[in-house]
Amino acid sequence: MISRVIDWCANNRFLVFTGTLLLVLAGIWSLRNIPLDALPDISDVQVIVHVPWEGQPPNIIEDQVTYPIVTTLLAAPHVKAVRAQTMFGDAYIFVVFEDGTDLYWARSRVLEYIQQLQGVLPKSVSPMIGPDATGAGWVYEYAVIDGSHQRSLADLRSLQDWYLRYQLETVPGVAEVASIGGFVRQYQVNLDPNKLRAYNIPLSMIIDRVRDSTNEVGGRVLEMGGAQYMIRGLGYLRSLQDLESVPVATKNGTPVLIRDVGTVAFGPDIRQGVVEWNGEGETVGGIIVMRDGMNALSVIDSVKKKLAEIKPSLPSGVEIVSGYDRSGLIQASIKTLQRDLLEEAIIVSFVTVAFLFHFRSALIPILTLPIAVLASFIPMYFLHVSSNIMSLGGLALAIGVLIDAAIVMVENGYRHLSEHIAATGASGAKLTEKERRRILMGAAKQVGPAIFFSLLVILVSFLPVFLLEAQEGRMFRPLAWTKTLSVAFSSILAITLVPVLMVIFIRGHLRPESENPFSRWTQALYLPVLRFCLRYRKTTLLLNLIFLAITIPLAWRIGSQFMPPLYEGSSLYMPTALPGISITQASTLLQKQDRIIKSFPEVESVFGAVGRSDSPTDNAPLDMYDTTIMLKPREKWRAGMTYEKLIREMDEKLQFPGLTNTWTMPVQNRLDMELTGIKTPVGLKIQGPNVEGIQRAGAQLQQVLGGIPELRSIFAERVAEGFYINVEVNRLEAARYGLTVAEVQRAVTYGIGGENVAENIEGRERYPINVRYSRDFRDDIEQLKRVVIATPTGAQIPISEVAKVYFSRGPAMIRDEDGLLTGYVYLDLATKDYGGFVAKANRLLNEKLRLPAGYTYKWSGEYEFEVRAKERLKFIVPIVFFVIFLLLYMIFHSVTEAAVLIFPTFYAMTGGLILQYWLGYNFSVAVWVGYIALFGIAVETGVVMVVYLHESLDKRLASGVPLKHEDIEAAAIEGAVQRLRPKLMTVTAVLASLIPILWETGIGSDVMKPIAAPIVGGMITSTIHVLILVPVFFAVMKERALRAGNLTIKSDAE
Amino acid sequence: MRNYRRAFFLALAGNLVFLGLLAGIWWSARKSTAAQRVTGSVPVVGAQPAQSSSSSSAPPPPETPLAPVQLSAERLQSIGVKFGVVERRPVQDEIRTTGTVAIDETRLSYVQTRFSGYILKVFADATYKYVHKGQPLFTIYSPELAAAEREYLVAKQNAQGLSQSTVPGVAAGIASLVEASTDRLKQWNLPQREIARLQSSGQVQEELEIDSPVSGYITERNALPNLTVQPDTRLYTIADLSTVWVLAQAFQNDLGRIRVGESATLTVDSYPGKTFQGRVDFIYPDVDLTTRTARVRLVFSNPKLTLTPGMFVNATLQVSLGNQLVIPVSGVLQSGTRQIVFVDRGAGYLEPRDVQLGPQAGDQYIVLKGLKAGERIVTSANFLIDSESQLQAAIGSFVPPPPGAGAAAAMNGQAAQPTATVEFSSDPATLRKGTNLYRVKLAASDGSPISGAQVSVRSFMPAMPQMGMAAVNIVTSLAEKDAGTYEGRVALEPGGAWKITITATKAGAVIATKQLSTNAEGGM
Repeated sequence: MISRVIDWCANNRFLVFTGTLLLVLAGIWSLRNIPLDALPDISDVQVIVHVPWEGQPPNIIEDQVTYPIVTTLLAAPHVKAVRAQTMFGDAYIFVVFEDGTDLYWARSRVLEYIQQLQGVLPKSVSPMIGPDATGAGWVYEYAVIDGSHQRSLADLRSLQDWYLRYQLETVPGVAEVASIGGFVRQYQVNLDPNKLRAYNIPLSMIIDRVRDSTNEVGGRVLEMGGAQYMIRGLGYLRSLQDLESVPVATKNGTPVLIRDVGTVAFGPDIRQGVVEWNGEGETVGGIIVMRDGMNALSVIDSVKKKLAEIKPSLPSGVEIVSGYDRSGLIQASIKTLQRDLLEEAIIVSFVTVAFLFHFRSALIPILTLPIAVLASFIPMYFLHVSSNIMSLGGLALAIGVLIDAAIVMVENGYRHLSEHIAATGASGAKLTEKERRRILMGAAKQVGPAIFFSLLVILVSFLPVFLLEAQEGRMFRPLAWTKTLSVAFSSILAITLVPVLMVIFIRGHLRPESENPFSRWTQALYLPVLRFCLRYRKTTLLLNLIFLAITIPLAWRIGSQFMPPLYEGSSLYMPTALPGISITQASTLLQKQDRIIKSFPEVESVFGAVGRSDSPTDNAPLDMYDTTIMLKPREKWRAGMTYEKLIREMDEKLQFPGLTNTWTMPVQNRLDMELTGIKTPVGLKIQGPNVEGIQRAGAQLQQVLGGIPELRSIFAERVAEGFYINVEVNRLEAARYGLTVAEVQRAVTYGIGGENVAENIEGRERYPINVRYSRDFRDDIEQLKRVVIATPTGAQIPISEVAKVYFSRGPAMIRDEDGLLTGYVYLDLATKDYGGFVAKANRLLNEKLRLPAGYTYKWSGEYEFEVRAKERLKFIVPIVFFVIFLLLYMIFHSVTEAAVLIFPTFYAMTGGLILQYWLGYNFSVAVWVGYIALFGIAVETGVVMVVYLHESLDKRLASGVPLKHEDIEAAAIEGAVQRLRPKLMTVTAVLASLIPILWETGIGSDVMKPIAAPIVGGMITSTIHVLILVPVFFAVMKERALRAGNLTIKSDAE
Repeated sequence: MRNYRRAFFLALAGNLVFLGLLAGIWWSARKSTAAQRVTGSVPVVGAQPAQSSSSSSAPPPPETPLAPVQLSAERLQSIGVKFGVVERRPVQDEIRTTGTVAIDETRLSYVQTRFSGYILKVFADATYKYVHKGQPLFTIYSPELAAAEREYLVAKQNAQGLSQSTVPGVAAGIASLVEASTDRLKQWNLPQREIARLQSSGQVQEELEIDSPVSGYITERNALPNLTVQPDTRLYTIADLSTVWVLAQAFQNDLGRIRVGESATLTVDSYPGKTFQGRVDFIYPDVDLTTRTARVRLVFSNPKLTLTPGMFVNATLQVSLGNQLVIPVSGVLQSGTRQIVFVDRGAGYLEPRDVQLGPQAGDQYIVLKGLKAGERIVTSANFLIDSESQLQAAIGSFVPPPPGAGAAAAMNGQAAQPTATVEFSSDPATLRKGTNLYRVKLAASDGSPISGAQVSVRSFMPAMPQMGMAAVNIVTSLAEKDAGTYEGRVALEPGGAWKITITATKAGAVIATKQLSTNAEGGM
C-alpha cells in the first residue's frame, strides 16, 4: 500500500507540489493566528463564585453564605468537587467541573444553581461569578504612581476604579481589571454616641435618614408650548456639606442635623490589600486578567497600546508603570525556542550534508523539515493549542526525528543509485532517466514501509503522554500534540513528497559511500569493535547486563518534583505571616522589604503587594505577601551572579521575625495556587461540623501519629488562629431591657462595624456612605463595651450591660470541601513507601484515636496524584510496549525479533539516567516525557538496524548458496557496518538536534532541558546497544535458526 | 525450531524480567493503598452536639506553645520593635460621659424686700442681665419703711433732747427706743449705707435703692415699675455662675468606680480645644428609671462665665486606682484566652510570658500577675514576635540561655558564651533538593581543631499552610571525619528556605552553636 502511495506520488508530481504549497500556506496562516503564551494554562475547568460580605468574619460567612452555596452547587451536573475558602469579608467557592466540560456551559449551570438560593442568603449578600479566567491569566500588572505627590491614595484609587479599569476592560481578551491597594473613598458619618444619647436619637433613625438622603428621580414629562419637558427630582449629595446637613430629627422645631451628632468626612473603606512601589511608598495597583484561551501576547500588547493612549489624559504627574509584564517572558521563551528550532534545523542540515556528502541530496530532508513543522501548526490552530514553551518544545524534540525518515529514504536512494552506477560502469551518464527513476523508486519502496512503521512506533510510543491527567496532562498535552503531529506529517511527507524530490534532486555526480571520508572513518572505528563483540558474545552480553544492573539503581538517588521550575526573568517574593496580622503591620513591613529588594542592582522594579485585590481570581489571605520583582536582563547583572545566588542574597537580607520567606516566580506561583489542596506528598483531611473540633482532632492525630519513626514531622493546621473579639448577648439581661438579640447585634453591625448604608452617585463614580461611631468610641475593647444601645423604653444603655465582650481565637480562614468543614494535617515522611506508612498509621489510628461523632479523616496529598499517575502509567506502559511489539511484529513477522527490539529501550533508559544524574535533574513529569519520547526513538533505530541486517542476510540467502555460521556473522557485520551511515545519520540527527537545547541558557530552556537530557543520554547508550548488541543478538538468533534449518528469506514487510 | 523457541522464550523472559522490575519500582513506591478513605467516626459518650453555633461553648482548642526568641538588633529594628517599661505608679482611669451645666444651687440668690412698697425705678430691667454685687437693681418707695425711718429720726431727735435728762429711766428708755428703731431698720435689711445716710442727713429717703446682693445673672425678674411689693414678692433671682455644677450621666455599672473628690475635666463643643478642670462633688443617690443612668454632680469654677447653664458638655471623670503596676496597652498580645507579654531579657532575647491583667486604664493595663516593676517589655510589632516565637517553638531550635538568667550566670555571663568557632560548608556548595553533604569544622579560639565533639545539625523548614506545606525537621548527627571535621548526609526535600542550626557538644556541655538560613535549589 505504501509502495503504491509512493508510486502514485512519483507519477503525480504536480499534485504533490500543489498540495505541499497549500499545506505550507495554511501552516503559515495558522502560525500567525495561534495564541501565544509562556506556559499552557493547566487549571481545571472551574468556575469561581465570589461572595464579598464586607466586615464579616469567616465563620459567619461560612455559616450563612458559603455552606448553602456549596451544598447547592454539589448537585450541579458534571461537578467534580466544590471547594470553598472563606476569609475575612470574602468567600471564594471553586466549582471544579470534569475535564472537558465547556467553561461557558459550566458557568451557566453555576448561575442556574445559585438562582435557587434566592431568599436563602442574607439580604446584603450577592454572589458573583468570577471572570472567565483563572489566576494564570494575570498577564500584566501596573502601579499608578503620582510623581508630584499631590494626590491622595484615595484619588489614585478613584482614578483606577472609575477610569483606568473601564478603559482597559475594553481591550479585547481582557476578562477583568482588578484593583488593589490604596484607599477606596467612602463618605463616613462618624457619630458621637453621647450626642445621640443626649438628643435621644436612635442609630437606626440616622441610618434611615442617610439612606433617604441621596437619590434622583424622574417625574415623567410636561408639555408646554409644543415642547416636551422632562421632569426630574434632583437630590444626589454634591458635597460633604450636603451630607452634613441631612436632618435626622426635629427637637422643638429645631432640626437636628448630622453635623450636630457627629462629623462627616471622606475616609477609607476597610482595606483588603496594600500595594507598594519600589520601596518609595504606598500606591495603587491594577491587574489585567486575561480571558481563558486568549493570546496573552496580543492582549498585553493591546493593553500597552491602550495605556499609551490613556497617558495624555492622566492628571499631571500621575504615571502608570508596569509592575509585571508577562510579554517579556513570552517573547523571550518563544524567541529561545525559535532560536533553538533554527539552530537545530541548521545543525541537522549540516549533519545531513556531512554524511551524504552530496549537497543536492541533503536538500531533500532540509526542505521537508520546515514543511512538516509548518503543517503541524494547522491542526494545532484547530485544536486551540497555543504556541508556548511546551508546544514549541514538542517541535524542538521532534526535529531530529522528523528528518530521520527523509534521511533514510534519501540515503537509500543515493546508495542504490551510486551502487548501480558503480556496478554498470564508471560513468553515470549512461543511466537513462527512466532507469534512474526506477532505481530510486525501488529504493524508496524498500525502506518506505519500515520507515513509515518506525515513525508510527515513535508516534504510538508517545501516546501515553496524552493519557496523563489533570494538571500534568494539561501541561504536556500541547507538547505531545506538536510532537505527534509533526512526526505524523513528516511520515506522510516521507512517502509523498520525499520520493518526488528524490527523483528531482538525486542526480549529478554521486560518489559511492566508500568515498565519503566520514563513513570511512566511522566504519574503520566500528568494525573492529563489532568483530570483537561478535566473537566474545557472552562476555558482551554479560558486560551489558552488568552495566544495566549498575545504572538502574541511580534512579533511586534522584529526587522528584512536579515540574522543573521555569526561570521567568522575574521573581515573586512571598513571605507569609501567621494568620491575624493587621494590615497596618503588614504594610509597614512591605515598604521595608521593597526598599531592601530595590537596593539590589539586578532589580528593575519591585511591585509589592500584601492581601488581595478585588478580583475573584485572587484569594490570597491578608497574611500573604505577593511581591513581584522584575529583574534586569542578565547582561546587566553583577559579574558571576546567578538567579539562585541572587535569591539567596536577598533571602539573607530579608529575614524578618515572624515571617517565613518563600521565593517563587509569578507564572509558577499562579499555577501552584491553582492546585489547591495538600501539597506535601501525604496529608490528612479532617472533616467535621465545627472548626474547633477539627483543630482538636488535628491535635489528637498529631499526638497519636507523632511516635511513628518514619514520620519526620507532622503539622496539624491550626484552623482557629484568627483573633476575635466576641460580643455575646446575654439574652436574659437583654430581655430585662426589652431588647432582642437582633437589636443588640445591630449596634455591633452599625455602631462598631459601620455599614455602607447608601451609595452616592457622582457622575461616573459611585462612593458608599458609611455610618458608624467615631473612632474614639470603638477603638479599644473598653470603648467597645460602652457602645450604646437604644432600648425600646427610650433608655440608652451600654452594650456591656446586655452582652459579654471578650477576646478569643477563632478561624482566620475556613475551608469547606464538599459541604464539610475541613482542616489539613501535613505530614513529612522519611520514607518513600507512602502506602506502607498509611497502612501503619491507619492501624495505629484505629487503635488509639477516638474522634467525636461527625468527625472523619481521610488520607490525601500529592501522592494521590502521583499514585494515580503511576497507576495510569502502570496500565499504559505495558499497553504501549505491547502495541510497539505488535507493530514490530508486523514489520518483521517474528516474535523473537520484536522482543529483541524492545531491549534498546532499557539501555536507552540507562544513558538517560546517567546524564540526568550528572546534570542533577530531578525526576519530574517533564523527565518522564523525555523518557517516553526516548523509548520510541530507541526502538526506531533498532528497527532500522534490523532492517539492514536482514537486507544483507537476505542478499546472501538469495544467492542460493547454503549458508554457514561464518556467513551469518559476515552478513551481520556487513549489514551493521556497511549500513552504518544511515543509522549514524539518524542518531546523530536526533542527538545533534537536541544539543542546542542543552546548551541553551535563555528563558524557557529550564523546562526543555530536563526533557531533552534523557533523550540525549539515552540515545548515546541505545545507539551503542543497537550498534553492538543487536547484531550480536541477530547473529545468535540466525545461527540458531540455521542449525534448526529454518532460516529463510525474510519477506519484505507488506 | 526448538532453538528458535528457546531464543524466543529467552527474549520474552528477559522482557518480562524488566517489565517486572519496572512494575516493582512503582509497586514499592506505593504498595496497596491508593487514597485510603478511612472513617474514624467512633461515637463517644458526651460528644459535642454537631453544631457550629455551639462553638463558643466548646472548650478552647489547645494553644500553640511559645518559645523564647533571640533576635539581633538589626532584625529587631527591621520590624520596628519598641520597648516600654513595667512601672508602678498612681493610675488614673477615665469615665467618659456627657452632662449638662447647671446652676450651682449653693450660689443662687433671690432679691426680696422685707417690707412692702412700690417700685419706682428699675435698673436691672431684663432677665439674664448680669449684675455685679452692690449694683443697684431698683428703687422702691415703701410707706412702711418711710414710717419706720421717720420713727427712727423722731426717736433720734428725742434721744438728743432727752439724753441729758436726769429723770431716771428716761435716758435709758429713749436710748432703747433708738436702738429698737435701728434694729427694725436693720431687720428690714436696709443697707448699712442707707442707715448711715439716714443718720447723717436726718432726712427720710422716699426712694430707696436696692443693690444686688451677689454678682451674677438675673435668671428671673419680677421687678417692674409701680409694682406693689409685698415681703413675699420674689423680685429677682440672681445666679452666681462663677462656679457651676455639671450634672453628668453615669451608667449604673460605672457608679462603683466614681469617688467624690476625684478630678474631672470638661470639654465643650463651643470651645474646641479648651478643657475645664473640676471635681466630683456629689453622686445622686438615685438612678433614673427611664434613662438607666445616675447623676453625678461635678463642680467647676467658671470665672470667665464660659459655661452656661443648660450647656451640653462632655465630661471625663478621673478614677484613681491607686498605686499600680502598669504596662502600655500595646505591650499585650491578646491571644484568645491568654494574655502574652514579651519581656526583654537583654541582647535581643525576648521571653514570652503569660500575664494576668486587671482593668485597662486609658492606654495602660494594670498587671496583676506575671511582671515585675522595671522589666522591659515589647510594645510594638508584638504580633510578629509572637509569630516568630511560635515558629521557634515549632523548630524547638536551640536558643542560647538568656544573659542574666540567674544571678550566677549574670556574674560570669561571658564565660557561658560558646568558646568554639563553627565553620559550615556543604557539598554541593549550594544546597539543593536531594542529598547534600554537610561539613562542619570546629575550632577552638586559637584555631586548633576540636575533635571528639558531638555535632548535630538540625535542618528545619517551617510550615507554610498557605502553600500547603508541612514543616520539615531533620536532625542529623555528623560523624567525625578528620580532627575537627564532621560530616554527614542529609536529604533535603523540598527545596526552598531552610534554617540550619548546628549544635556542638563536648562532655555534655554545649561548646558552640550556629544558626544560618539558606536556600536549597530545585524548587518545591
